[in-house]
Amino acid sequence: MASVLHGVFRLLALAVVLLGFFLGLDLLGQAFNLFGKGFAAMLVERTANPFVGLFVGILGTTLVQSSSTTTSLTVALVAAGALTVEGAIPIIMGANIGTSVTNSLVSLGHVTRRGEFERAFAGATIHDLFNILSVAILLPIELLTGVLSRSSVFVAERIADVGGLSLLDPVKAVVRPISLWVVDLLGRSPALTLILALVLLFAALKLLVDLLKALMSGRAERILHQTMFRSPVAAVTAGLLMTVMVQSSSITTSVMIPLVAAGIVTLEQAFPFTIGANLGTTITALVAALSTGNFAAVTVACSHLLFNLAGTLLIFVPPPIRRIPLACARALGRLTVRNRLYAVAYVVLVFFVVPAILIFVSGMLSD
Amino acid sequence: MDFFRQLFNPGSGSPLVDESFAEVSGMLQQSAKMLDHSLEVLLENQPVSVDLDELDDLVDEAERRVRRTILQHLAVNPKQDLVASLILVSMVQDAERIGDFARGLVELVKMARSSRSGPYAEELREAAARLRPLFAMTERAFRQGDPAEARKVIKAHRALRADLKQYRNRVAASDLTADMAVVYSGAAQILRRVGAHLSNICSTVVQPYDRIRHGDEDL
Repeated sequence: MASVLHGVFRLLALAVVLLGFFLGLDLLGQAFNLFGKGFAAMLVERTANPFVGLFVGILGTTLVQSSSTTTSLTVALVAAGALTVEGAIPIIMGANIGTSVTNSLVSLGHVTRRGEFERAFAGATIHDLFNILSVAILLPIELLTGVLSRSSVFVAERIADVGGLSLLDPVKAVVRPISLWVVDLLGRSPALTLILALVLLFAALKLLVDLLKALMSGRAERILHQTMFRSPVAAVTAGLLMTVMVQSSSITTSVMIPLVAAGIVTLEQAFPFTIGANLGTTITALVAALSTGNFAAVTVACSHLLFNLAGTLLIFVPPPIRRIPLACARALGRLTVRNRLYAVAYVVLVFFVVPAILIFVSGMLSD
Repeated sequence: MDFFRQLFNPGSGSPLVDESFAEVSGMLQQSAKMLDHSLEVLLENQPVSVDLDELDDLVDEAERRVRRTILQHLAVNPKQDLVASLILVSMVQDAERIGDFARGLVELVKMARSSRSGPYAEELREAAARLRPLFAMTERAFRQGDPAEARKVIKAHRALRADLKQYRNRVAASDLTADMAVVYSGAAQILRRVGAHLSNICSTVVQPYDRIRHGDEDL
């Protein structure tokens, strides 16, 4: 009886948190409707420069340490018409880079022991380097050919064909009346609605991650233990499953750092696990997009998945290319043996200073 | 996260920590078999018929597995079963050492120029008979977290340790040949060390973390 009650309680808690997440997304859309077309047009114009979008994605995700938050926000903005698909894709790419700051920070926890820190830092930066390399290859290709956005449209159309856009209509049916009631309660103030939407979104995602981690930690351990060392495919699967279960690639990839630091997982074993985590995190944006029922939003979510898949195929699958981020990660690790401050400088420069400066410069050049 | 974990998973431990405890059980059972065979070789003058090096390698590999598994658990859930995890890392060293000592008994026998018989061999046989049940008691103590069982093992070891010390003194004062004195004294020392490691494992059940392996005088 106690376990049945526990199960019911768990489901209720999950439902409440998910309701909060979908409500936050809907309120965001309502806020932008209230701001009006002029505000949306201004945002679209500001993010028309893909490099601004990229660096906003990096910096924003670095600050909140959650790519799910950034990608969910981006999807909601696209659904509200405040962002175009072309403007959103670089933000999504930037979110991929920004999320890898967490495991770089986790690696700093090993800073007192040089050998351990060298391995930990290499383990962290393999994620950064894969994401940076993916963007370096795929962003120019996308800007020149639009292949990613066109492929995303194709996939989104297939999802729409099978009724995917209305998959979460029952959720919308529950959330929309609450959302409209809240907007009225706030006196239809766009600013207050936006603030509440953002707070709700951040809080719901944070609680969702904490809740799922508490519920799934035993299973996550088993998956890691049973699949991690078998093969690269098993490692990708482990990373993907763990990330879907806890809804956070940051948590999943951070788990790897102490194992790499201790020397029981090699960089070659950690790399596919990291890629699996990258793939697993695309689920959140997809769920957020489906909840809006908006074709453009679903397209952006599909672009997140396709971008990570393309990166995997281009960088991880061919052995000569795979060796590049591995070698660079090891080189960065060796640098920290000479002076551990290099690691701190790397994190500050790559995730904060450079994106901030380039946003400013790109913005000025656009003006 | 701790709030949710306690709320939604009360009383549920880590599967990897449970697996590690089972692994340590397996190590003790394996070491006990090795000890049985080594004692047959030593005291019953039987030939070596088991590859003890291979068995010891299995025990060593089990120790490595426990360390890897505990690290994986702590990487995912550093706050859950933290003390149990640290205890396992300590416990697995004791379990591994028992396997080494069992192998060491057979090495000792190589020094003997004659068969082992007589009162000194008989006394060792009795000491071994007192030691042998402590393996199962130790396993029960730490698997079930049974402090009463753990204290029995610690007290039994304390008594055996005193008796083996006196035994060694008698061997030293005897007119045994040098090789036999070395064999009997060395074997007594090994039996004492095996008992000590079993006692260390049991101390994890009854002692605070910082007093594991020490301070059993209070018991």
